[in-house]
This record gives sequence, structure tokens and C-alpha cells, in this order.
Amino acid sequence: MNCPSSIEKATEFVRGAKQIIPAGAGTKHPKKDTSGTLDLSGLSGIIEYEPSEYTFSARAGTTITEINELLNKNGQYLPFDPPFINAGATLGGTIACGLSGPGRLRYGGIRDFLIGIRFLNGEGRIIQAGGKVVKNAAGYDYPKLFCGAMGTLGILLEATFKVFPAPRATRTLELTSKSKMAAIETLCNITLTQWEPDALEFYPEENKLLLRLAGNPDALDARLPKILQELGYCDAKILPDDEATIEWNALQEFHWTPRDAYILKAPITPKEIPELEQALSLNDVKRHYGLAGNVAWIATADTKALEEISTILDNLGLAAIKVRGNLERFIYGKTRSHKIHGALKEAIDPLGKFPVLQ
Amino acid sequence: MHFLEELAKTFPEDRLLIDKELLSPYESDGLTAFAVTPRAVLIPETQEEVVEIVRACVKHKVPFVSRGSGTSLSGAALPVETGIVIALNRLNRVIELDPERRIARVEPGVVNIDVTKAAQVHGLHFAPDPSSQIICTIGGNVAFNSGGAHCLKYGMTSNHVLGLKAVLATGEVVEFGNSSLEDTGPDYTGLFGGSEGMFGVALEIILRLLPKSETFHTILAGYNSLEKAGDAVSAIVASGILPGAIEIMDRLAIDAAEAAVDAGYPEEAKAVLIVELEGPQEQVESEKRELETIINASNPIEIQVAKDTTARLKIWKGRKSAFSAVGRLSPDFIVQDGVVPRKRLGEALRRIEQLGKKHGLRVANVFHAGDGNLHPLILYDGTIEGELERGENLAGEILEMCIEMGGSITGEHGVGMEKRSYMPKMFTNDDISFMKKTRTAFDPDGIANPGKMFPEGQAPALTLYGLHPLEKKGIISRE
Repeated sequence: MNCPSSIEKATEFVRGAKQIIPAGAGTKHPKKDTSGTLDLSGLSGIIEYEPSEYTFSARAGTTITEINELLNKNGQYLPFDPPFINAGATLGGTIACGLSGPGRLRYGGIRDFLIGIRFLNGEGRIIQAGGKVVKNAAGYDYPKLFCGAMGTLGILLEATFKVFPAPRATRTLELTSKSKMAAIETLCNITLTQWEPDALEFYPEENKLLLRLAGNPDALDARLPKILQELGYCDAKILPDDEATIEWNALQEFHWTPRDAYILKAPITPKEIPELEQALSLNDVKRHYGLAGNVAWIATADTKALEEISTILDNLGLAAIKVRGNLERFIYGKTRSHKIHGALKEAIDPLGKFPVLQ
Repeated sequence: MHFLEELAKTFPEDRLLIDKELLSPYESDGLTAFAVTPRAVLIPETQEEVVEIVRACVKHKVPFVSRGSGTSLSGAALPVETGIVIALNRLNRVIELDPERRIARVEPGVVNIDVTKAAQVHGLHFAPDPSSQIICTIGGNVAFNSGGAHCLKYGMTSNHVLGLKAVLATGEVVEFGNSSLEDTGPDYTGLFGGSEGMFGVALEIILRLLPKSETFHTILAGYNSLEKAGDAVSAIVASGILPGAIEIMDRLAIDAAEAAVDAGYPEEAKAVLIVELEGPQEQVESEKRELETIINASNPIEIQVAKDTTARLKIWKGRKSAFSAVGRLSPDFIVQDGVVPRKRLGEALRRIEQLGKKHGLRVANVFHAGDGNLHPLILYDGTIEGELERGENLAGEILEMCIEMGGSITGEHGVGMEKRSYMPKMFTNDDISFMKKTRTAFDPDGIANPGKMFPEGQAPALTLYGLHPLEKKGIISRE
């Protein structure tokens, strides 16, 4: 394993290596001690932070905890709730996995807040894309392309993010329905309201929704009674702040999954949830639906079950990517194969140094 | 078989234009400095026809430029002399509008505002709102990652595109993304957005819709200096309020807007600041008090608060008409859209003023202050010898200033024809060569919108900037 302490050393390694597997803190895909592994956790630290610009730049190996501490001091935050923070997730790993948490619902995900990157291509050249200002339309949008690319296109060195002022308060409602269908219906109703939900998550096993509202405390307290009244058709209760923090933290850290479980992320829409639920509950796997029914998180510790899940997803026309587990295979369910995928990979990585997404 | 003969089998005469006079409306887009007559204009009515045209272009290696309403301010839809223009206006169907998933699946020729019109029965809207939204099309918005007044809070077009179907310049038809907010694998949808029509033609686009804000609070403050307006912006940003829009116009721009639409802006002010809060009623109510305190402390000479929707729309009408209105003050103008870090806005404006004096030209300023996106409108008279050249030089010096300040040469109009020579100032040779390699995967023959974004290539001779010939005649407008 190689753990360079400078960009120069990382460059040197990339130029000399035949096969490269980039790694961060290993919170999602455990690092393997091979000659091709490039551990970027040594390239860390915040480079620039301008609270007045709503932006910061940091090296890829910087932990999100470090970023959050700094933002917090200035009343700002990353609105997309990056996951696995307590586990030690880095910026680079989170970008490569394209991971966002419950907060994505309101203002967008990691792809929407990443505005600039610097990376090493397979030839060991440093490429810069995007910019350092919140609005920019010059050049191709590689920052977005790199979100979810799983380290197959280049080695991230630095990232620039847009941030927002943090809401002054949040309130969390726990809504329990009589059935899954009723809970999904409530979820759809909420997404069409003008409450601007900050997060809305569905726990299928408990027919439960967790709704977070964010804003000024006086505004939230004035609105809540009206919302509770409108939600009178389900069992609604306001969670005390400390309880709510634990619940949201548990989601962000995936505490609901067994420690050694594989986790798949499957884009979905609320309409498709009932069918998937029916198919998956037969197999005794853990599920959770985030982003108002826009993502299914599926967890199992059983390798064989993983194959069965893949078939189920495929039959339903759903695709998934493994966001935690070994490095052998990433894509599950329905695969979409276009010539451009291969052509683009070849154009960007002509020497074939980076892994192929499979 | 000859390229056009082959297409003539599918396309009748009225959808395959080759006569010089029929081609003339397609010679320029919103950047009228450049004009090129294409070999032909094709007007497809279905996605299959677009695919057929692109595949014929691939087979015969004929360049193509796709075009919606031609509102680009960077010369995005400038034709290539040896190539064709694919006019996509008839692909204007909203294929699907689903309130449950809050998405609209649309064809590229759908006009921006029509998405919101179709969605509003469900209380939904499409957030990106470029000033030209009543005529510009989604295809162009996606290709150039268009912005608008609400980008600080809501982001740009790409932030609202969940997926798309496109025919690439290889002839391959592909689908990227899906109807969900989430995706798997590299974000190809994100890469396609803002690729300036150089990867292919979008056939269908899946757009994210948002519930319309419950309430708005729009305030307009007049100041006796631009600097005070800028200081007010800094104070708002520092307060932690996140307004939907923060806009500033200087005196020259105010004059233009007043002459055009009688927006009722303060007569004495050297600058006006427009701030719009939006969201749930109670939140806006709470922020309103805070905003009021900040604005009062910023020494405005006049404050107007929009009492109702009519008053609010009147304020916005003045702002959104500013570009075309400047045409009333000057026969020709150049508009730039560089970005500077927000805290350096005041400095940037002072330097623009000095540069204007140096070149002996007037500059009107309208800008998205919340995100540092400038819009200097450089006024000149093309019939006076040397003025166009001076205007060009001034524009170039403004872009160089933006780069030097750590900003960007374009916030929302794209590079296009206009700013391609500035790309090497913002990006290294390695960066640009990486972009070119990427393009090769999508377009190995270099036939999709060639000559844009990258600094090489033969530039057609400059004619005049300013309003489109049809705009000057009052036939079209972009209010």
C-alpha cells in the first residue's frame, strides 16, 4: 500500500504504477494491502475557507468531521448530510461513492454542492475542473462526473464545495401509519406541500416516517401545530431534540445495518417501493428508504442474498451500487450498457490504470 | 448518395431549408456579433427524425449545430458554413408530468416557462429561470447549464436535470440518469449538462420540479452609491439568511429598464438592490423582520416593499427586461457574465468603471449579487469607427479581471464562440487537452457544434453586437 504525503509523491506513484486502486479512510470499501492501492488519507487538510463566499477547498483525504467542525464554528454546513462521518469518511471517498444523506431532499446532493476538483489522470497530470466560485459554467462539468465514479476515472486530490448557512433550528416529527401503503401515501402528500421538508425518511418495517423541518425556531414553532393538524390522519409526534439527533445520526451512520453488512444504494421512486418491499421482505434483508422515497438502502451480510437481491432489482428494472463492502463488484440489478461508457473510460484513462466499474 | 438528397427522402421542402432567404433567421443567435449561413436547416418533428439527421451527419461527416430559440448570448448556436442547423423547436412536447415523483419529462424544444405552466396545476414549478425564460428552450438550458436569478439557493439548470436521453455524435442513442433524485455510477447526466452541444443532441430530459414557495417577500432598496448596495449584500450574506435572489442594477441599467417597462424604480438612486425571500409563510415572516433591520441599517434612500404579486412582478419585470432595454440607450452592446468572489464585487465594479473610462465607453451593470455573477453591458455604436474594437478590448479586460480575482469567465451563458479565446487563461493546456479527449469519446469526428468552447478554429468575421436584427425591428423581444 502506498500512502503519499504530498501531491508530488502521489503523482510519482501514478506515473509509475500499472494498476491503481484509490482509497480513503476505508469506511465503505476496506483498503486492501496491494501494491496498487493508493491511500490518500495522508493528503488532507483544509486549503481555503471563505465563509463570506459560502465555499471551501480541501484536500481529498480530509475527514468530513474536520470540515464540519470548521463550518459549524461559522454557522454553515454541508446541506446534503454526508454519511459515515463518525466512521471517519473523507471528502474524496464520499465524492467517489457519490454519497448523500437525508438532507439531500431539500437543496440537492453532493453533485449539487461540489463545484470544483483537482485530480490526477492516468498519465500523472494534474487536471483542474470547475472553479472556486459558487456559479460557473466554463468547461465540462467533471466535478459532477466524478460523483459516483468509484475511483475509476482519476485520483481526486482537492475539492471545492459550496456550503450554506445552517438553519437555526430543526424539528423532527415521527409519523406512524397503519400500513406501508398508507405511509407511502403520507410521504407523497408531504412532498407536495409548501412546508419545504428538510428531510423525509421511510422505515418500512415500522410503517414510520421521520420528517425534519428546518428554519428559525419562532417560525417552526408557529408552523408545527398547523402541520400536526394537517397530518391528523396518522399518528404524529414531535421528537425531543436529543432523541431526534440520535435518530438522524443513526441514519447518517447506517446504524440500522449489521456492522459487516453490504449496503446497496438503489435509486427508486415512491411508486416502485411497494413492489420492491414485497419482493425483498421475503429474503429477510434490511431496508430503508431515504429522500422521500427516492433511494432504497438495502443491507445484508449474506453474499448469496446479495445475488438474489440483484435478480430482484433487475426484474423490477432497478439498478444499485454497492456503497459498503468489498471491492470486487459494485453494480447490481439492472445494468445499462452503452458504448459511450467504455469509450469515455478509454478516452479518460487510455492506459487502463484505474479500476473498471463492474 | 449525397447527404442532403438522402435527407430529402424524409424531409419535405418546408422542413429542409436551403434557400438563402429562408436560412437567414438561423445565421445568428443572441450574440449577433457573429453570423454564418449554414448549408441547410433541418426541422425535425420527432425524436426519430433527429436521430436520422445525426446519423446521416455521422455517415457523411457533416457538422451539425442544434438550436432551440437561438437566445444564446455566447454564440452557442452559431452555424458552421459547411454544416447544417437542426432546429428543435417542434420537439416541444411535455411527455410526462408526474406530481408524485415531482418530475417532468420533456423534449428539448419545450420553452422554459412552459414547464412551469404545465406543472403549476399541481403546485409545482421548474426552478431555473434565465431572463429569457419566456422564449429559451430546455435543450439550450441543458446544453449551456443556464442560470438565472435564483442560482444561489437553487443552483443552475444541471442541478435540476435528473436524467436524459440523447443521440450522441457517434449516432448512439443513450439514456443517462433516471426519474429519481439518486443515481448510480459516474454522473453522466451531470457531464452532459453544460457540454455546449458538443456531445450530441438531447432528445428527452427529465427535470426535477419543486413545490412553489408558499409566500414571497420582495424588497427593492435604492442607494446613492453602488458600494452601499454592495455592503448591504455582504450584510445579508453574513446574517445567515438565504434569500431566493439578490440582484443589483446600476443607474444606467435602471434608466434603461425605466424607459422600457416603467418599473417604478427610484428616480434618484445610483443603484437598486432587489432581495427576494421565499418559503413557508412563518419562515419568511421571521426573516422579513431581520432583513428589514439589515436594509434599514444600510442607509438606503428609498425602500419599496412589494405589497402583492402584481407589485412583485413589476419589480422583476424591470430587472428581467434590463438586457433588451439597454438596446434603447445604445445601438449596440456587448454583455459579459463573468463571476468574481462575492466579497470583491465592490472592487470589481470600481475597476469596470475605470476600464470603461479608459476605453471611452459607457458600461451598464446588472448582476446577480448573491453569487458574484456580473453582467456588464458595454454600450457602443458600431457605426463609429473603432468603437466595436474598443468594446471588445474592454470586455476582454473585464474577463481577465474576473480570472485574476479567482472567479470565472462565465457564470451562466457558457463559453460558446464568444469566450473561447479566454479558456487558456482559466485552464491549463493539460486541462483543455483532457476536455478534448473527453469530447472525442462522444464525437470522434468533431462534428457536433464544432468551433465552440476550445480556443482554436477559424472565427467568422465580427459584424455587430447588440440586439438581434428581428429584435431591432420589434418582431421578437426577450423581456
